[in-house]
Amino acid sequence: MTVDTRVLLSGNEAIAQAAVEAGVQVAAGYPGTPSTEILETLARHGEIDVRWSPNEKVALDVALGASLGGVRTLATMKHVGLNVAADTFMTAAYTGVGAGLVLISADDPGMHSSQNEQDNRFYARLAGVPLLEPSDSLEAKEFTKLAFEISEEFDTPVLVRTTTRISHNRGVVTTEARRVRETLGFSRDPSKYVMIPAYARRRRPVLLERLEELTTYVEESPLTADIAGDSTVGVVTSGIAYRYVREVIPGARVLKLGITHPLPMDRIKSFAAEVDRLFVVEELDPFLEDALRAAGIDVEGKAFFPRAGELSPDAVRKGFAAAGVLEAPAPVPEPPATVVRPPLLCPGCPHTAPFLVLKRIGAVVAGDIGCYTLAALEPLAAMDTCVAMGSSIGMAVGLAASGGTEKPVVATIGDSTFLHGGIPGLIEAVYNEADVTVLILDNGTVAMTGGQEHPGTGVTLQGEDTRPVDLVALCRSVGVDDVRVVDPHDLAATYREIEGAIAHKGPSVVITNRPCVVAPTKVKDHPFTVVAEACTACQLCMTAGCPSIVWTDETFEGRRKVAIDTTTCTGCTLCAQLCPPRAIVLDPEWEAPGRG
Amino acid sequence: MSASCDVVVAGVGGQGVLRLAHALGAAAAAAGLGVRVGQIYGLSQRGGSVEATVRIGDMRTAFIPPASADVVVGLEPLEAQRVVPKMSPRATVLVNRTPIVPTSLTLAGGDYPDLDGIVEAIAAVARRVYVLDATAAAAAAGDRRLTNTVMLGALAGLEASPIPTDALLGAVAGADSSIDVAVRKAAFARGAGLGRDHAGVVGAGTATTPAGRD
Repeated sequence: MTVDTRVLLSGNEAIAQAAVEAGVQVAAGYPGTPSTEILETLARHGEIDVRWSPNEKVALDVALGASLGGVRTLATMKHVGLNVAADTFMTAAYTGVGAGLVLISADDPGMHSSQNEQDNRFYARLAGVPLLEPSDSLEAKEFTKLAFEISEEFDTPVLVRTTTRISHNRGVVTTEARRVRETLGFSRDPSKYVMIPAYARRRRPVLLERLEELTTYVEESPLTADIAGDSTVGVVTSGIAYRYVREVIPGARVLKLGITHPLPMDRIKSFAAEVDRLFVVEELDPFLEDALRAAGIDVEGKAFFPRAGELSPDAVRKGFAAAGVLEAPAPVPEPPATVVRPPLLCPGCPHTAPFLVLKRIGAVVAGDIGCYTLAALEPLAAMDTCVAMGSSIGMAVGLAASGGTEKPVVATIGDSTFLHGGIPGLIEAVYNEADVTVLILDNGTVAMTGGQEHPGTGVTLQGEDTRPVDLVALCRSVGVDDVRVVDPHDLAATYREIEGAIAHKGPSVVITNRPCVVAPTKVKDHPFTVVAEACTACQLCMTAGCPSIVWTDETFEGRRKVAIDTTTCTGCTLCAQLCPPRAIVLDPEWEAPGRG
Repeated sequence: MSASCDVVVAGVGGQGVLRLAHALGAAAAAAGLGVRVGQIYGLSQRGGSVEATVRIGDMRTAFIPPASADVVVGLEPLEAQRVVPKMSPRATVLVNRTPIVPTSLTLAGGDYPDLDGIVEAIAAVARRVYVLDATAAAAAAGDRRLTNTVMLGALAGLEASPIPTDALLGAVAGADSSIDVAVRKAAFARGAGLGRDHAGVVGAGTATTPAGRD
């Protein structure tokens, strides 16, 4: 990262740049869209200790420990990750910090890549910590830097909340030099850092007094910005919603809140008194609106602006039109009736065969978070639940305990998800003697978020070799007697091992061990092709849902034959194993790169 | 050409939609223009529809309002058609002619729509439509994966954006890529040639002229 230059950065890259400039020395997190690139970018800096932790709770524990050790520290996670870290987060508000501690929560309104769209601004109120909401890349950098100063001045962790559009969109940012302060060192102070009830009771009033002082700070902060305009309409807003408001109704008077907890209620009250009609425009829940109402301010908001899904300039325009403030927007032409194109498991994905097997067996499948969740969709359609990181195993145990199904109950969980939150579930299965089978889909990476390292890969975020967790030994050590390992590209063996594990009474584990075809290495093996004359159009290969298999115009007994796109086929062999007349063969015309 | 310009890039996950948008944005920033790039990723490698926006000029958001995109770069025909509601009546639309059949369509037993019909649907809205064989040009340059770079070159050749060609080429050369820089530059040059030479551009089933309402 260069000094004093104008660069185009995503919000995530801008936060990493802020961490560099603010002199952060330790950063920890767990990958999760839309937060992942913050630590990936920061790891390229070289001088900073940046690491993936097994989960967000551990990441925040590491960050809090490093902060108490006297260095500025960053923790990053997606919104649902803060649920995992919440236990530490809530009490870190009591302990306060050593050097500055900033936690980034990257929320995902619209659920582009998430299982819910919870509004994490409530966490700031729940914990009693300051909350900053940048509205673009430039602010993401400036606010994050300021957050470190606030953290140290007020002795508190600070929450910076972004949303997907802030995290992923790019804008022009000016970079500055890195400044590292002298390390403060760890100062023993059990009454502040050992939260036994006697000490925690003393810290609770400290937290409340701190909030009072913070309120005064926010009232005077330049991040609380009154933007001049026509006072017939006043808008209180924050984050990305601020930008939509300015685009849609540029003439209105706007109170832009850069810090949304605690709230500058005096400023908001005087603003309210100076406008004819007061609106709150905010994404997701009425976090600001409810607070204003509670303070006795007459305000309009969610009556006109949606509470579900992402806001957009269009949604804001419609809201103001419904409120009678703007003309109704011109009707948007209907999108053309084009074919939908949902995401899919990749050609050669090692997750495909295990789900073909589970579908065939007819198991009740408790799924988990990862690429393999796509197996819930057609044509695999072999997953029955997916709730939270690591939930699959505990839910499978519960489904088995309920007696609500005669079918075998199987949990499917990825390697990183297992290490993140699955291990206690497996211990539950052993401890309470559950008759479930756990399928650990070990593809050697965090594939869903773009291929990150994790404790099972043997490589750190900074690319250094480390000791990998031995999944087989781990499962055995907690008391699973039946642990099997199978190559999921061998369909018959996969079937045999899953069937055998299900037959075993008590908890069993099957680990599939084929690496992801995309990361860390893009796999391109000898592709297959269909001998058209031999194809009997049974279409069994189509059940795998492989994007490389397409229809041809040829038919057999009225059914369409298939072909394989050899440019995208990775040579996994699965369709060839499925093909009854053995019409799928290695492409004789293919030449391996470098051997041609 | 005014200094502000709204560009939509559409394609299929894995085609390099986001890389193309990033190159456009980086080139605009390097040329001293204001720019915001709008993109969402997470599922973008897994064969789904992907769309990115590049807004050049002094913009408050990266959202492009309906019916106001000046330029659309479609890396795949159906994906270009999908963003028709974004196209302004003055839009210049570049379409790579190589289709990627959606697996959902395959599984439903359907056939990929006729390319001429797609181009007609776009031409009914946009001012100019250029249909290019960017995938073939990328393969000829040395790597099929550079379809996006060919399209960026074509954009430069057509002078369809306010970003100077040398800035666009600089963004291609400076990109974080595993593909050899000489091959990337060759792909850009082939695209620029396709853009400059309308004889190499086929539109709406005709051999030499772009389609559209011009």
